[in-house]
Amino acid sequence: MLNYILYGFGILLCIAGVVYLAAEYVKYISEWGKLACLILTIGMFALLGKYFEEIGW
Amino acid sequence: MAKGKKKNLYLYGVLLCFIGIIIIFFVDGYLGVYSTVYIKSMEQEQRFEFEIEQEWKPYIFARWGDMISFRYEIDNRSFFSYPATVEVSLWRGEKQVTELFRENVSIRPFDKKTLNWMLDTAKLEQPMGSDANYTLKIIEGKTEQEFIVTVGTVYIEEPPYPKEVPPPAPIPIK
Repeated sequence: MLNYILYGFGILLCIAGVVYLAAEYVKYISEWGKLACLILTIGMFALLGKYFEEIGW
Repeated sequence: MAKGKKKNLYLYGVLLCFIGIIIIFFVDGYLGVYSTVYIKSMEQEQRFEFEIEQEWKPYIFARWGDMISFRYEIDNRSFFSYPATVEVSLWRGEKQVTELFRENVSIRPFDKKTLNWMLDTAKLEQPMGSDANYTLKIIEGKTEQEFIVTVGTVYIEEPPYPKEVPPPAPIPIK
């Protein structure tokens, strides 16, 4: 149970960090950089979904 | 492939994607040379960043006789030194009115440089009747940014009070 809480906490902190970076620096990123970030974000959530599928959630 | 290894591969993929996003933000969003100009006119300060595209040319308003102060910050967020020439000039149409500032700068890696100059509108032609528009060009290396400077006429207003009161009309005595 504690492991899941720690995983959740870590994921929340990662999301908070990305949101902060997005708010501060996204206006300076080039169009190609924004496209690459979008593709990586989709890939990240797709792989996360596959992981949860593998562990049976 | 064992199921455990497959699960770990997905997790590594998630981690790689996340690290890739962070690297893109750092390399594309943070690293580079960033220029910001602060313009103070009529007791108001405006801030313009050269990296953010403007839909239209920024406007600067001033009354004739006022001083407009400029503070130009160059932030070199890169691993190499940045040499450039900063030239500031005022134009009216295709004709250059005056050169306001010129300096060669060399900024060390991860260092900032601040440049200051003033525009004395009293040295410009006094606008008669309507406002006068000028174009301020700031050239830093290969980048150029233009601002529209509007110099307004000076109106001398008459005080509303006290107004002269007309003498009372004489009352006819019957």
